[in-house]
Amino acid sequence: MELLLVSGVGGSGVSSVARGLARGFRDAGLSTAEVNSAVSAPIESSSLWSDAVDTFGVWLQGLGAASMAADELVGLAGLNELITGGLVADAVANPNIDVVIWDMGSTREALRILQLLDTVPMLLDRLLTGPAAAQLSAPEPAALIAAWYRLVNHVVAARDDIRAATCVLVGETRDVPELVSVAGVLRLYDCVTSAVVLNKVKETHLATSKKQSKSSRQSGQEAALIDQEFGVPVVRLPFRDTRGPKVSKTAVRLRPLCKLLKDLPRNSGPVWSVSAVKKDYTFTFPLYRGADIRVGRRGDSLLLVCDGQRRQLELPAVLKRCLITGGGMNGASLVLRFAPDPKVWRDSRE
Amino acid sequence: MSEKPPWWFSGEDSAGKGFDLGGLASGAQQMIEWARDSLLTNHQSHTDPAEHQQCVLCRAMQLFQQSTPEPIPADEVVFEWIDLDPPTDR
Repeated sequence: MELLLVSGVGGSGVSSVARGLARGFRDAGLSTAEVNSAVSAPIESSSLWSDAVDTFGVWLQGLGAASMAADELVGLAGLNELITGGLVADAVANPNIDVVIWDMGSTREALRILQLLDTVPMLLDRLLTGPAAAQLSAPEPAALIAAWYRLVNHVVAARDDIRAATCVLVGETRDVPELVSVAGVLRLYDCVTSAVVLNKVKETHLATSKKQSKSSRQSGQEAALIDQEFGVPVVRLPFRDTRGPKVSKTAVRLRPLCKLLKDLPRNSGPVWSVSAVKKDYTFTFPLYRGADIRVGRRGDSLLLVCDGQRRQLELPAVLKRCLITGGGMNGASLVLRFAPDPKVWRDSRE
Repeated sequence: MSEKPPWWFSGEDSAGKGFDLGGLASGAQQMIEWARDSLLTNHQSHTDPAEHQQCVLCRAMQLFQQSTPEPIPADEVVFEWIDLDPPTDR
């Protein structure tokens, strides 16, 4: 494991768990870096920032738009997240760091970052390869291309690191249904949840006596729901009502989870799969049961919208020459049916 | 702050805001010179990026070809939404 994403329901102790995991990895002798999305990255000192300034600045001027001050870019929505992603990619690539923990905050924030890192490389690509590039009249296009190349490398690296990352979701017992749906939507970005931490569990709910209370049974049922849906470990941390959480105690309780995460292999490849059924094909994308899904197609691109989150992906080669004949949610997965397009796929019977 | 700012920069004085204009201008100038000398001159004769792995611009082109969808034809600007079946549980 190299990159560990930690996110969860706001206010459930996401940052406490992230800090506890970091402490746990350090106690295990691993060199650990922590990145927190809630803390603004030192953007002025980031090479990614100067690359972004160069790229946007040259582009604006090249297209005849008014020039800008570098400070104007600081407030650009998403730039801080891109730079944080670049810092994370740098840390993952650092051979002296064993584990990088990215505290992404609430699930809403995490999904926003993931969508951003998935979309921006495509948009940057269009900037250079689209019609706008032909209109460029920059006196030194080499400067633009060099900055653009480094900018894209950083963003693509961050995106690819996330796709290979291990993800831990945090919430309270009552948040289990939300965690189940968020774990499904995270798959949209090939981000697979490896463990769930239920935080602030009342001590009585942790007891294993035969006389379980109603809420204790409920807690057990919800944990079973997670196991059934995803088959991932569920760790419970006790509720603490005084002086806030202590990182050292949290780390001790998370030690078994650290060991488990440490031994997990990197996620490899996308979560979706294609299978052949006679002359047709089936495209399966695991999400979650009850997902609100829309599917669009434009040429070789597929647009998946799950609970408002978007992912645009290039169809695998064999499906580019097919038409979508139908599909929908089947259990927890989106299943699309494809048939060869007679216009581009010669029938073997002829 | 003694260096000449980049040609596209508006020239607002951002001193005291943590932004090092001099450093940026110097870096940009070096980058321009390096890119002009080592990249553009050679890249101009490269017609197929796959045949020039040593060229950073050709590699950049290939990076995107591998990681993003093909450019969209101009007549396909709108996504066609697919009618999905009602959810099933088979």
